[in-house]
Amino acid sequence: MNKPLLKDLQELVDANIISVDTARQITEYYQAKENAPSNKFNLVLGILGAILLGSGVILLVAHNWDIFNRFTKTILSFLPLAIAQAICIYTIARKRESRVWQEGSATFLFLTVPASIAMISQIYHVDGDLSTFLLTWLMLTIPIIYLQGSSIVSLLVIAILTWYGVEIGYHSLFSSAVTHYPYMYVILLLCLLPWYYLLAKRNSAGNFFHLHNWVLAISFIVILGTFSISGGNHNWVFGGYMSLFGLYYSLGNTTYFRDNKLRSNPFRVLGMAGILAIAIAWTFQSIWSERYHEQENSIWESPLWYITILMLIVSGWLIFRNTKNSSTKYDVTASSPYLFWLLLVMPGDNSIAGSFIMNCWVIVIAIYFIRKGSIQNHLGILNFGLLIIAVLATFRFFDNSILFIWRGIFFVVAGTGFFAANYLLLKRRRSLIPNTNA
Amino acid sequence: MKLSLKIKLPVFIIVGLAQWLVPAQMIAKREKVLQKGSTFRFLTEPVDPTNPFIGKYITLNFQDEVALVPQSHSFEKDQTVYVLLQNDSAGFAHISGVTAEEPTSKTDYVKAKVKFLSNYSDNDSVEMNIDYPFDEYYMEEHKAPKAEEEYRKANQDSTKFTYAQVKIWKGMAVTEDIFINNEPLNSFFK
Repeated sequence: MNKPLLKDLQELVDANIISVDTARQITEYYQAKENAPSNKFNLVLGILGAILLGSGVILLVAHNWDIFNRFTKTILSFLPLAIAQAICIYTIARKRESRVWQEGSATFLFLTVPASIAMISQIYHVDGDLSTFLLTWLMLTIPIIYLQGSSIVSLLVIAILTWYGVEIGYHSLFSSAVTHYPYMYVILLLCLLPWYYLLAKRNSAGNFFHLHNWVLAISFIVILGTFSISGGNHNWVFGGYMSLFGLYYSLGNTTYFRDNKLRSNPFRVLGMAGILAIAIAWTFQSIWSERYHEQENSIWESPLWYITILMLIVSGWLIFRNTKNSSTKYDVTASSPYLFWLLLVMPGDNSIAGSFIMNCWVIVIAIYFIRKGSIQNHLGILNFGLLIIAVLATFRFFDNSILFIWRGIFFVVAGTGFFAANYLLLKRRRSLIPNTNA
Repeated sequence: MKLSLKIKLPVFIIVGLAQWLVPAQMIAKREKVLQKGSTFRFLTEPVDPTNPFIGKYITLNFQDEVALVPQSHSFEKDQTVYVLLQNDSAGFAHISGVTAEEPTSKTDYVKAKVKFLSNYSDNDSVEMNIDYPFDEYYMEEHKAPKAEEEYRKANQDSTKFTYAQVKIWKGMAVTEDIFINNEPLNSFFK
């Protein structure tokens, strides 16, 4: 705390302008404010240090030290684990209030557990089945999250769990062999649920809660595809992903997340990006005709189908709630999955109709954002809508299935729209400024 | 989470013990195999990849990894099988049979997986390729590539042969060493 302020406070107390109590409260306020950022900085440093140290141990172990005999190697393989456990016990007993100690020691222990298993595997040349290795590691370390109260370990567990899911699920997805679904991914993720609930309840504005949302949202995107059937019609998988992104988007628009900044609302960001990516991909006629030639109903046999149904029901409920709790107009983007599924299940060769409707739908979404930006007087939202049209236009520019004349007209209209929309919004802003000044 | 020290510490000790127990039982199982197991020598063809955690290893491709099973078999790809082994007159391991059920009267068998099945029409039997659980041999990182080179040289020389010496007991296997012409692989780096 700076000295001049302390001196001034003393002066004010002496002059009876403020009471001793008030002076103390002011001192405490500034001290707390000063401590907060440095604590955060220490926490980041502690975590980074532990991650580097732990990864270093893993790499040193992987070198495989031939100068040691089997007995020495065995002792050495337990050494980092023993040190990490000792630090954790010290933290539990003596440093219970220190976040830096809690997170740091837990992270270090999280990384020494696989190091010792790896060293034993090396000594006895144990066949390295990576998925079993990852699963053993996670089962031995998930309790650390609760014992040490460590959010970093929780994030690392989600990351490693995603790796496990990819190992199991995508390994044989494109062959016609037996499909392995990563059910353990779901089960272990459920073990993290209480921790996530605690984070949400305790500090839903905190960085760790936002980080969890980001990591979880990305993890689900990565893993969803593993629940599709191997060697089946992969076009159905687009339907599954569209439903996931639709659910994300509706979740990001609930009262719980709605007012967050974009960087702390991964559901809205990823949902929007995903919906647009799939919608724009399906504006191509070729992908629709490919779907028609690959008619196959193998999706019924995969868990992805049931997950999709569930997601569609939940997002339907969320859309209903969001519309009820909102003063703004109904958000068309959220209903993209329903339209998409409707087109997907339509029988017969509907490649022209399908691609035409998807093109229109992308334009509808774009117009929704242009309108929203103009109503809210928000240049960012307005130009986002225009950007969607620009991207769509770029793809259509190269689409030889449309006549040049139609493409030309579309481009001229879109370009004029760009200028007009921005000009009108800026003009309105200018006209608002004198009003507020007056 | 606000758990008291009285709960936290004992729970941590249990978790900590589990973290010791998993590697410890890995050791115990393999030490038992090394003590009680029979020695088998498998003729090999090594190459060197990496495991992100465990380090550099050489993959062993075994010459004798095919078993003949009758056409009427019910084996599937990736299925766990028990491979019965015996040594031939030259002292190298050979498959004497494959079963789906774990043998109870013998100890010289190894738990493995069916890599793939290939069907030849001119034969009454089907060839089953076996994925042995001891096809990775971990080495110090700068030795693994050299080991592969050493192997290649040995391979060009038709008088040389390479093999893995493996202890096998009740389904489990522990690789003791790799040999090129009866010389342990490590002796080439001294």
